[in-house]
Amino acid sequence: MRRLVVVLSMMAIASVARAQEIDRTLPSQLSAATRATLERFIDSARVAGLPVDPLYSKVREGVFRSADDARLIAAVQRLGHDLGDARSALGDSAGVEEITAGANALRAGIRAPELARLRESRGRKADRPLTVALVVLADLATRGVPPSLAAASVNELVARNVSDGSLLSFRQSVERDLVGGRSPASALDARTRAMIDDAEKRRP
Amino acid sequence: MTDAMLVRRVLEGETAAFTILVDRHAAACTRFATRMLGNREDAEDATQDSFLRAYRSLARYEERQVFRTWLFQILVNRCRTAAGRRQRHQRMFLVDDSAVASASVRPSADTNDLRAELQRAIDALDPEQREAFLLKHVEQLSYDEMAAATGVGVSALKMRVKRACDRMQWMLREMSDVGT
Amino acid sequence: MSEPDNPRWLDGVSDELRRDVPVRSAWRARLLDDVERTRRPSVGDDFDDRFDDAPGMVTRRRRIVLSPVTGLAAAALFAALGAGVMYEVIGARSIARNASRDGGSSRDVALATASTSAGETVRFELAAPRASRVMLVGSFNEWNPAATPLVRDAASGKWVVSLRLSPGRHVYAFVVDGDVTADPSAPRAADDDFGSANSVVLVSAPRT
Repeated sequence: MRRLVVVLSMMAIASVARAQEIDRTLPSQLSAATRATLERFIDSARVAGLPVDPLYSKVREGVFRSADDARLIAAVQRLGHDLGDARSALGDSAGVEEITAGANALRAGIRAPELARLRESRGRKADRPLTVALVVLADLATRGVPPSLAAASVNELVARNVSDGSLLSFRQSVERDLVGGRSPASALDARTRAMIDDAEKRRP
Repeated sequence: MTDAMLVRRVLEGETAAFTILVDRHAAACTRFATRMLGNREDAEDATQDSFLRAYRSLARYEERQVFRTWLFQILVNRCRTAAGRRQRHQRMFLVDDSAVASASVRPSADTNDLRAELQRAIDALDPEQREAFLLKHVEQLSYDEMAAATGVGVSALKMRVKRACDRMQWMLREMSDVGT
Repeated sequence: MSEPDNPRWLDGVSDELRRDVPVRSAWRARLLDDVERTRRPSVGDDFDDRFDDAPGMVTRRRRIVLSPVTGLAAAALFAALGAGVMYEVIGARSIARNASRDGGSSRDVALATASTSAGETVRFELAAPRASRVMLVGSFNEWNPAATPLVRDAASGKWVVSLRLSPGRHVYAFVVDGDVTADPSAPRAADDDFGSANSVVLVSAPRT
């Protein structure tokens, strides 16, 4: 309590909105052995230049979901490897969010070459990260759309420089169709064509 | 000039005297309402409403009462109404102690994190406990004044304050473990 | 200032809570305006509306709440605003700018077109009419199920909470009376690591 009292009594009045910083300590609920294993793994990921925040976050999520230590370790290791694969596919200039979203797309069943193709389709437009496209991809694949079909559609849209907002509404439309009972292939096909038509119309 | 004297002036037609009363008590009212309701906008509405009702009903104030207590009686009522409106048929969320125990609270000396933790701890109290805790330990009313402001008996208030303290201490214990 | 029999932790907590919440001058001005216009009290008067639940003569500021922005409407809006590095509002959530209310007669909840490096305020919503407790967990609060409760909004009946999030991709879920569930209106994150689905929220990067 001493520290709490000291800190509280020294607080200034200014209030600043706080942005999230991931806690880079491992929760004390985990056994010492587990923490050691995780530290070693996360450390090697860091040395490899991979973002470590998603790994710490994954640990916290595992604790929240009451995963046993073995499962938790496996999940963190799998994520670490996915991050590495995503970085390879998306290139060294890919940002943290892109890599993380890419890792999640891989997890959803999208293959690494499909990520690489997305990157080619985006071309040199470095100011437009692929994060949204990757989030949409992972979402579609998670909802039962065959990954290769989803990848082909999103790739088409990315190649035509469809906006992030449009990509998200595309995702929503497909989801609605799927919920309505439409087959993934037909939903994707229809919505992709609609989006492309839209993009064509707006072209100056 | 005492609050009672200012009230007399207002009743005699000197509206400006009410401005002084506002300036004396607005900060404490806003503070209480903000902590009680958890958000600034509702707090400002409740506080404004309270001052206006106090003004209109000023002839009902009796000089033997402490003005601040009389005002807080209105404010407590407004805050209860505001909270009730927001959560009409739901009981207030309670922090499940086991959830707190299994959750990992970040040990951190960061000022704003501690403040946020503190506000969360306050928010997690039962509204009755929160009300009693704030009146006792923030606004520093005596138990008799609290009884007048809330309409609740002194022993019930003491129980609520004690429960609030116990719960706050529990919720803050993870922070307290750091560095001791 | 501490009472002799208060434990020290309590003194610290009280001191902190006793920290002033500033009174906004616009609020004060509006109150004094209303005082000018309202019924004047006088000696011997027995008017008493201290505890009335009637709206009385208070001029209530109207809240303008942005209704959920969905689908193509949002896409069109954002296309019109110029995409840049801005991400879309997703599903039932709106991004509210912490608008300054000084001098304003109504609170504007606007779509944020820019954000500070500290992020944006994102509103999370869930329709769960039979729930008694809903919490938000995610990468932004260390997956702490006690950290971020939702509150039932009287107007819509939905459970809501607004949080300031830093720019980027965040993963989250709701805990509804102890059960973890994804946000039905948000993109899904693939995850069978722990046997359940998470949702994704994207917060726009700062405008340069």
